[in-house]
Amino acid sequence: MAIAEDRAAPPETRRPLAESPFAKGFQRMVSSPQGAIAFAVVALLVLGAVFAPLIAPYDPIAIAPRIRFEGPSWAHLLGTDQIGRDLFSRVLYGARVALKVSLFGTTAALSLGAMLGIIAGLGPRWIDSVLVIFCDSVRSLPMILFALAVVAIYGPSMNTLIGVIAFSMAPGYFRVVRNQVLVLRETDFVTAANAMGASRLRVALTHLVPNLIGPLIVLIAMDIPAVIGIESGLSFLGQGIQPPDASWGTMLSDGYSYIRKAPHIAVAAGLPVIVATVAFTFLGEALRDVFDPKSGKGR
Amino acid sequence: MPLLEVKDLVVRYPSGTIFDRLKGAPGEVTVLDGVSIAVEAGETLGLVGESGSGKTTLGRAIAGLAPLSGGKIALAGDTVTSRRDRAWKTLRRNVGFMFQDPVAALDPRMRLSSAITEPLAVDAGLLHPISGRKRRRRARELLAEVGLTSDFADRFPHQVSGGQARRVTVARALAMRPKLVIADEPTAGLDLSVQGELLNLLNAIQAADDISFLFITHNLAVARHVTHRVAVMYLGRIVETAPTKTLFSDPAHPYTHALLNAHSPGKPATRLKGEAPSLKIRPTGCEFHTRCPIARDICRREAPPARELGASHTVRCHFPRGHEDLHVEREAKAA
Amino acid sequence: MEDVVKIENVSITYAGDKEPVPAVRDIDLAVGRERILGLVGESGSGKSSLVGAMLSLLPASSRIDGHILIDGADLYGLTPKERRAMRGRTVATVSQDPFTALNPVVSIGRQLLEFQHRLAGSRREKLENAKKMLEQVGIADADVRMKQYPHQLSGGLRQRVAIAAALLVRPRLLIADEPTTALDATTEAEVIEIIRDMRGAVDGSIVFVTHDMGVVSRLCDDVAVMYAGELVESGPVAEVMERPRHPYTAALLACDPSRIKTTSGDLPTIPGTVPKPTDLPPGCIFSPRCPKVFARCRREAPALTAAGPSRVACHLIEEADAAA
Ligand SMILES: Nc1ncnc2c1ncn2[C@@H]1O[C@H](COP(=O)(O)OP(=O)(O)OP(=O)(O)O)[C@@H](O)[C@H]1O
Ligand SMILES: Nc1ncnc2c1ncn2[C@@H]1O[C@H](COP(=O)(O)OP(=O)(O)OP(=O)(O)O)[C@@H](O)[C@H]1O
Ligand code: SF4
Ligand SMILES: [Mg+2]
Ligand SMILES: [Mg+2]
Repeated sequence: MAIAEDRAAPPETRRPLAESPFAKGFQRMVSSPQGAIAFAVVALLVLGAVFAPLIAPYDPIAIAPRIRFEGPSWAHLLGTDQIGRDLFSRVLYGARVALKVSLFGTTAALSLGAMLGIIAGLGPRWIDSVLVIFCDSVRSLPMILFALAVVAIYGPSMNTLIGVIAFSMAPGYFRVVRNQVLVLRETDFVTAANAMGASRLRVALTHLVPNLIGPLIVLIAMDIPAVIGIESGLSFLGQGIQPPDASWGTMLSDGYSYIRKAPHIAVAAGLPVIVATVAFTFLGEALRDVFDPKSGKGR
Repeated sequence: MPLLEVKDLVVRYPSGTIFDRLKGAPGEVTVLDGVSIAVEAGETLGLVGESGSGKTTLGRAIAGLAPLSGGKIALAGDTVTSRRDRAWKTLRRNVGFMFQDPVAALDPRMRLSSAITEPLAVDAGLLHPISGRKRRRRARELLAEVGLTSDFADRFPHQVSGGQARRVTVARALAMRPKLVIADEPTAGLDLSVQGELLNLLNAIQAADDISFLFITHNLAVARHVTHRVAVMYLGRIVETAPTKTLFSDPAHPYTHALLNAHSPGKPATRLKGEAPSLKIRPTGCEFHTRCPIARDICRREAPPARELGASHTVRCHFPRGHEDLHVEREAKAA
Repeated sequence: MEDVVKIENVSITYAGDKEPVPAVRDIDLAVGRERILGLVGESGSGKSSLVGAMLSLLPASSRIDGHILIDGADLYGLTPKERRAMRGRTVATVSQDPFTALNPVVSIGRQLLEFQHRLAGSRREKLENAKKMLEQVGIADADVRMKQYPHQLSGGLRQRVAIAAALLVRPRLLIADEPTTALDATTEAEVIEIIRDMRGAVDGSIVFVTHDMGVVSRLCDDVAVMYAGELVESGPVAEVMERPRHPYTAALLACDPSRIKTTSGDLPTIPGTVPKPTDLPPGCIFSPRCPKVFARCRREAPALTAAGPSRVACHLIEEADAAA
């Protein structure tokens, strides 16, 4: 009798089941001040980018020669640039570009890298060797030179940018995924699935992907600043987003030209880059805590 | 006919680097060297022996997790002799496997309801997925069978204790209603009271469903309580098989004797000399001769054949304890 | 008899995620000179925490109350530096896992040399010491082994090397935390015999943590039984094994399959589960599971009371005394 009762309600493991893992993970992520602030900033950035057309007080490419080089004011929160465009509106539209490029770029890179990584990790040895050698050679290419070469061939555009980013970042994800898969496939739970006769595809879908997603999300959050950096860098060099479209890189380039006359332009363009970088990095760190399996055990 | 019959099973793993091989070292290790065992329906066969002797490998080979380099495995009429055999599918369906570490054997990101019913999903195939509702219902039934309430279905592995995780793996092993369950050290690391609970549970399941167990363990006291027969392994071979009672009262092989002695309280342990030899360089003749307290010349030259000492009591030794005369008889016959 | 270790009212509290975790509460225990103390108890009972405190190896966020005297010196009255020195010389340890205790990429000889870095003597002498110690723990070809790496040794050999390493510094106190759990019966027997043989090398005492009652009766002089962070019974091994006075000790011994002579499919168990340190029952901690529980147990926590040569924390003892 006593035994049956205890089995029914083991005291040490009784937990409220209403809490979904997402709610719990989110709670843990924002439980530290860094995590909460980082999340808030990233959320603001995303909202600003998504609703830029609604929020932006001015057209980001409308020229207004009469108000060139104006400093910050209530009418123009961040001031105006050398041809009188509203910098605040341009920052918002720039966020759109930056986030679009990083989102599509990293997603494409991730899908490519993860797929190859799983194939390499589960497939025969020789496929693994071939893929590793190939990806290592891609990684050893100097990124910026490679990007410039591609732009030279295909011409500067957002799609080229995304392609360059996907291609050059995929090997990094490939590495991570492959190494993770090599570890995971030796775990007892994958062996158990093999013992049940599970196919490789099933193992990949039901065991590998769910266990890879956590670390990969962290990685993406950590990589987004780098992608933003690449986008701004290429645009700054005139090889990315083309004027007059707003991008933090083109704005930086403008600011650089007029750094003595109107330093606020460079500040208005540089600040979002820095804020976004810091925020995504901290968000990545907060996410890492969330996805760390050990932190889930409450020890 | 026994439910499970393993005959002359050989498992080899590739080993060493290319450079070792160029230096003339063997390119393979023979982990199992001609192992034969049989398990009857409704029987528990204990598998004991030195660590590294191949107990886990034997269990894994039967579950299709180790390369078969020779011999055959037959379960209820389905015979496989290589990894590619079609019969694997039916064989696997009839074999449940419990891993030594229950927490590691459960995917940390999979709810227990999915984990327990994974064998069913695998069996159904990717193209014919079982509905979530159905899986959860089945999971609750299985949980009830192992004495856990249905609220465990929604938990993740880290939310249950070690003993409960062990019950969950029992539930998963039972999902396909297997005829045989291979349990690799199912009580390792369990507290004594929890260990008793688990063993009682396995007993009850066996009584209800006539399931056979291959019970791998280091714990001889446990083996004495829950097994019907015991097979003793040393260096990739079964050196003795006997009904549990007989084995504990009259061990015939010198290794079994040492093993039991090491455990019995009070008596001074007969310490085996030296280390277990490496699998790569098997001793000639009887593999135990390097450490055997009663080895003679013939042991170094000739591998002892398996011989019957009594009702289902088999031993591989030239001079089995209590039957030393056997050797003399054989020599006389030879002469 | 002078005690090598004296543990006085020691409590250990971990910081925990949400609330403090009082993992060990108010332990009083002594280890006599040249005695082997077995520390037993179910998983989570605080055995590792207690020996962790003796080794000053607990996380910085944990709090230790009470006093741990080793050779008369109050461990937590020392500076951190002195404590570290003590860990290297006076107290040595053999851990549960022979696979992680040794560095996989450094040869055995090198590692044994490094363990002696606090001792005086030349490199030659130290290597010689290491070799002698390996021979003492029953390793035949010490010269060869010194050149090998941990992965080239079997589990039993590795654990012997770990014991040799611990004994090299001739500690006053050797602490072994479940050193045989990963080993098979013959190898376990070997390791236990080596530890028994090596008593002379430790001119102090040994604390041996284990789950296994059989090991305790074969190896130890004294035994201390812990339950859910508290000491419930301690005394000479023969006494505790023959006449367990605490209901928990009795129940634990009853569950041990190696002590049950007749085999049947039905093994005894202790109903219920160990309480979590953050959610302790009032009164006696064993009261929710105790077969002999009575009203007072649920109200009042029993104190450790002398009973014959043992000390027991159970109201039954006092009741029996009062009745007599
Ligand atoms: N994949 C593998 N490749 C090479 N050698 C292997 C492999 N798996 C196991 N072995 C070797 O086979 C031998 C037997 O291993 P196994 O795990 O079956 O032993 P065991 O009897 O279960 O030991 P334990 O009691 O320690 O669990 C060991 O020497 C091991 O090193
Ligand atoms: N760093 C920590 N933070 C919080 N709680 C801890 C920490 N370390 C241990 N505990 C808790 O303290 C209690 C005692 O743990 P300890 O490891 O000392 O037990 P043990 O007796 O050694 O168990 P086992 O036999 O499983 O090794 C457990 O409830 C454990 O969960
Ligand atoms: S055959 Fe010889 S060496 Fe082998 S166990 Fe028997 S007596 Fe010992
Ligand atoms: Mg094993
Ligand atoms: Mg411990």
